[in-house]
Amino acid sequence: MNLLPVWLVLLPLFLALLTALAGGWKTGVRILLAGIGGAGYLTLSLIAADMVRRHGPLIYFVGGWGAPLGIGLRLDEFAVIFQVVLGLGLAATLAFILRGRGYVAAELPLLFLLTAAAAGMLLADDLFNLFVFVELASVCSVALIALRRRGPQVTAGFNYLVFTALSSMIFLLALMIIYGATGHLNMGYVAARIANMPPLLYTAAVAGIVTAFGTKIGLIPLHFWQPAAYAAAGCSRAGFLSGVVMKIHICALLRLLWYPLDVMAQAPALATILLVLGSVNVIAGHCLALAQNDLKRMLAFSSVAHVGYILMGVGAGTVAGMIAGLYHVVNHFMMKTALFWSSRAMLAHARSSDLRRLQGAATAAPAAFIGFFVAALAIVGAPPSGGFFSKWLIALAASEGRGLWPVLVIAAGTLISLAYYGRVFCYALRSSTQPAGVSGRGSVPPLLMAAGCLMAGLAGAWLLPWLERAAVALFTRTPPVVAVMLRLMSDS
Amino acid sequence: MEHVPYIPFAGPLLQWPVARTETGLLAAFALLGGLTLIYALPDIRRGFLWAALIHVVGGILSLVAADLIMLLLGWELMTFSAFFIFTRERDADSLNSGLRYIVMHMGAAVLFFVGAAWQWQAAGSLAVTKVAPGAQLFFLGAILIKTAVMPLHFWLVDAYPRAGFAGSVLLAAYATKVGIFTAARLLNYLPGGVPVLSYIGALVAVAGAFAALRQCQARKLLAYHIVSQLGYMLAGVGLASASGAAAGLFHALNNVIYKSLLLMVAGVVCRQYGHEDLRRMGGAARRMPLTFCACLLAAAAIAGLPPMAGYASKELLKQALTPSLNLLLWLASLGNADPGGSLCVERSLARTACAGSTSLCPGGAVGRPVADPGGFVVVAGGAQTPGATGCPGRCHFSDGGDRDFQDGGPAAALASLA
Repeated sequence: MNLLPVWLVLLPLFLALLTALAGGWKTGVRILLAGIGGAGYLTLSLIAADMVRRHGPLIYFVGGWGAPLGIGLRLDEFAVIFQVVLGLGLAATLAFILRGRGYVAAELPLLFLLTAAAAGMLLADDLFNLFVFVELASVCSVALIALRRRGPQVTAGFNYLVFTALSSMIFLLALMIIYGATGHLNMGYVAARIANMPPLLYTAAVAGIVTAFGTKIGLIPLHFWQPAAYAAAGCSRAGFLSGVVMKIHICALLRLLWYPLDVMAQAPALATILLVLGSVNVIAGHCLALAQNDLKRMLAFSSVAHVGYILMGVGAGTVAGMIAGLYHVVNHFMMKTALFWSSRAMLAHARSSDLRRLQGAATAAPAAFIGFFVAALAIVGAPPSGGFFSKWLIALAASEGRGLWPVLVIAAGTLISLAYYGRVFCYALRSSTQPAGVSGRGSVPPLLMAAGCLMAGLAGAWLLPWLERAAVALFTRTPPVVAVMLRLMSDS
Repeated sequence: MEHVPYIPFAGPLLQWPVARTETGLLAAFALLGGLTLIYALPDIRRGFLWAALIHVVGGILSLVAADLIMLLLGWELMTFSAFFIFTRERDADSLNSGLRYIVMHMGAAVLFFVGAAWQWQAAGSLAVTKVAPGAQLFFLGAILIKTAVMPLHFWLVDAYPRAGFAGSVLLAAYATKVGIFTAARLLNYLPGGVPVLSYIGALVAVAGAFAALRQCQARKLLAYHIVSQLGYMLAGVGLASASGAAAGLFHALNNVIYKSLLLMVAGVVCRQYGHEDLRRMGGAARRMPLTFCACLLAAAAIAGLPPMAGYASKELLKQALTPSLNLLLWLASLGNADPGGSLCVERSLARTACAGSTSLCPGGAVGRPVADPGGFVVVAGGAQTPGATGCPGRCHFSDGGDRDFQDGGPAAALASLA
């Protein structure tokens, strides 16, 4: 039995504990601890990815208790993509935070705790543990949002807490329905018996899960907490929340829908619904972003729109669409972290997050502006960045057999997003007499992320087979043999 | 990877142009990139250097792309590098016009994107060739924006005079010609047999020339004239025949040479005088005789005087246009009227350059030193022109595919000259 999956959860938990204990120690010790921890976690994620590539899914049963009663941790080809995103995201966030100006002492333990919860969401092979980890992630997110304890931040954090509690209730309700109807919490066993579930209950469960996770990922009209929360969280944390944590929720949603609930066989219409929901998110998210004057809120609405692109790819209902959606997940992770992080130096120059006050930011913080410019072009969808190719693949997959309208939606979104990102360039490039008082510290992680956006496109031929394996694994995962036998018995 | 329909940078990406006119355009692009950089030397900035290099690379990439995505990549490289060339001044006005520019061109790119998706659905391939009729509608829209066809010309007229002098030379040479080239490569659909694009082009050729007549700012005038010249090229490539495309591209090639020379001249003169108002440029011919000669050459070429390059390509255009349809006679007559228009434009430039040889202009900074390094480069560019004017003509003439319309006198005369 492989211990690796359990370490992916335990290591950040230990680090959270250590960094919390180290609160009173010297800053150097904490930085050393966090640095080693981040690098170690990235290494662990990459090792896990390599092992999954070579040996297939890694499965660990806690305490040696097998399914269906024991708690399983399972890292499969699909989740490992998100695990690598998580590892990279954590390491880069730590590098950015520790190189930056000041950071709040509670930030490091919270970040590690959130990582542990996110890893748990990727690994949980049974519904109840998934619920626990989702809850843990929500609590950590709220704490990160309200970390600096200023008025608007506390409000934003509180709003998020309320809505996330509501969504958790709905999620729990959906899980109760599934448990009641199938008698199992283990995903494989649920999958084996899902075909016997009454249609009404099945629909209710799927609707509950989509609503619950829709709140977490910002599905319109459940997105309204997001802009305020990201604006309050500050650039570094918003980059992690939007770039990484949101993707983990998408992973959990897709894994739930595709594997235990088996929507492609039970309710293929859901794919089209996701496609339509995604299109609405794209258009409405971009339009709302265009109306913003606050840079962080603008970036938050842009995230709402990009969730839409990912769902459009997924909603194609084919392996090709899933690959395109995963490609966009990887790209959006790099683009959005680069945008949030590089905007920190520019906003520090403006002393406000109002983008109309950005004049002179390009000369005051040139590295940040270059990072922002490259990442914005990638997110708008200019070739040769990965953002362009993932949009292109989404357009091809989503329009397969549906006419041209998904392509038109993506095209319109591209044009609107250029309008608002171009506005930022124009304000930032404007010359000003204000003296440059911004330090260039912490400009390397966003620049690396921006370079990654370009590389994701140039090296697409290398990246795509990996994503393809993940998508195929999601589409072809079969229930465990014992569960199939159980189903046969109950059928007879 | 059987599930991934399109893998980035996997197929054949580049192709060497086959037709001579296309090779000539490629050579002109490469040559002009170098010349512009020399021309920009007196007041070069590092930012401009980067933007100019990317612009040149984008232009060349668009000519040799074998894949629609690579072609789009070339377009976008040009769009975003041009943004930095336009917004050199970093003031609110030029940045706003830069923003208008990139939004317009992103609109073109988005239409291109939709067209490419349509082509993919229809043909299952993205090779740069004549695309499916439905997709042509979107590509046509993209090209109309890219080539600044008249109601959409404001970005060009607004942005070109804002660029630095070297920047406007570069933009005039590359940015729009790529649109013409793309049209020649991708479009061949004539709704009901009517070459709509040719009509649009011919109308723009006339309207642009008359709009140029009303301008007094040197580069604004030249910008309108670019719009008009693009109309000629569209009229050629819009015919969707081999001869029309060859004539349109030949005109594009000549235009690259003489228009950039005109803009170089304008740059040198304006830099000397410190303003762009043609009415206050009296005495320029006497002060800068070499520059003036170069200007005369270019003006003769753009007006289509024999034996200049502009004459040859305009003749070829008219020959390509006349035999096709009765309606086109009307179009060709417009085309005939237009050299008069372009002559007027040229006259206004020449008049201002040579007529007021007295230095009576009030307020004109006439006392400024006249000899400047830029002038020599212009002369170098000017020296290229007569050679280049002949050379593409010869290339074109020996292009066997276009024999059918070359039995007329003018082209033969040109060939004998060359």
